[in-house]
Amino acid sequence: MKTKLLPRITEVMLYLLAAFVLFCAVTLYIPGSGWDQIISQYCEADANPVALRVFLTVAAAFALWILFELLLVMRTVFSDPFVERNVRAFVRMGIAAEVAGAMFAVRCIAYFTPMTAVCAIVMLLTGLFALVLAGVFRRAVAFKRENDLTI
Amino acid sequence: MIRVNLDVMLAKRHLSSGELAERLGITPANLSILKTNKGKAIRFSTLDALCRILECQPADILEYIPDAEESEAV
Repeated sequence: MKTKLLPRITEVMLYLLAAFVLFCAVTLYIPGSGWDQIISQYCEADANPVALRVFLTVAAAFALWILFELLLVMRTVFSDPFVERNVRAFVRMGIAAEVAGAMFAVRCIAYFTPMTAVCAIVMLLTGLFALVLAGVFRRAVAFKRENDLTI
Repeated sequence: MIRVNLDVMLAKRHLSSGELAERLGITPANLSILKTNKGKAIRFSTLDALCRILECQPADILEYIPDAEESEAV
């Protein structure tokens, strides 16, 4: 019961987070949703609010991709998580997070804010974490395969 | 490589694969892996049970065959 509760809670949290990101991404283009005010405040020194809107959309797409891959991994937790598909999922998550981190880092150079810098570092670290986890999973899959073939 | 000669011993003892799997306490699928030399390793407990059930020695079941590359090098 306890072993199944934590993955279930994590799955629900992932769904909620995905819904929130999707909500933000959609409302970004709805006039009068409040984003105009936020962007205009945030971009007082920023030359191009449209670029920020596109940047946020791309970042949201990467976040959704990572969440989608995580959800697929979470679904295998109850059956058999040590499969080649999960290794590829972690590699994809790592790449997505690194690209998103690089985007934030580039934005830091163009228009620095402390929160953008924090986002860049968090995304880059998340990417590294996912790539390391992919390596660990790859070894686990190899060990499991060997164990399965030990009669 | 190590070859598993289970078929020979099964024929000698007039045992079916299904019966052997049941007496060993493993699935027929796992026994098939062992018989077809697809296994990576064999547990001592499995080997012990095999020898007990088939009334034989490990050497009756397992056979060492030098690889082609190794025998060429020697």
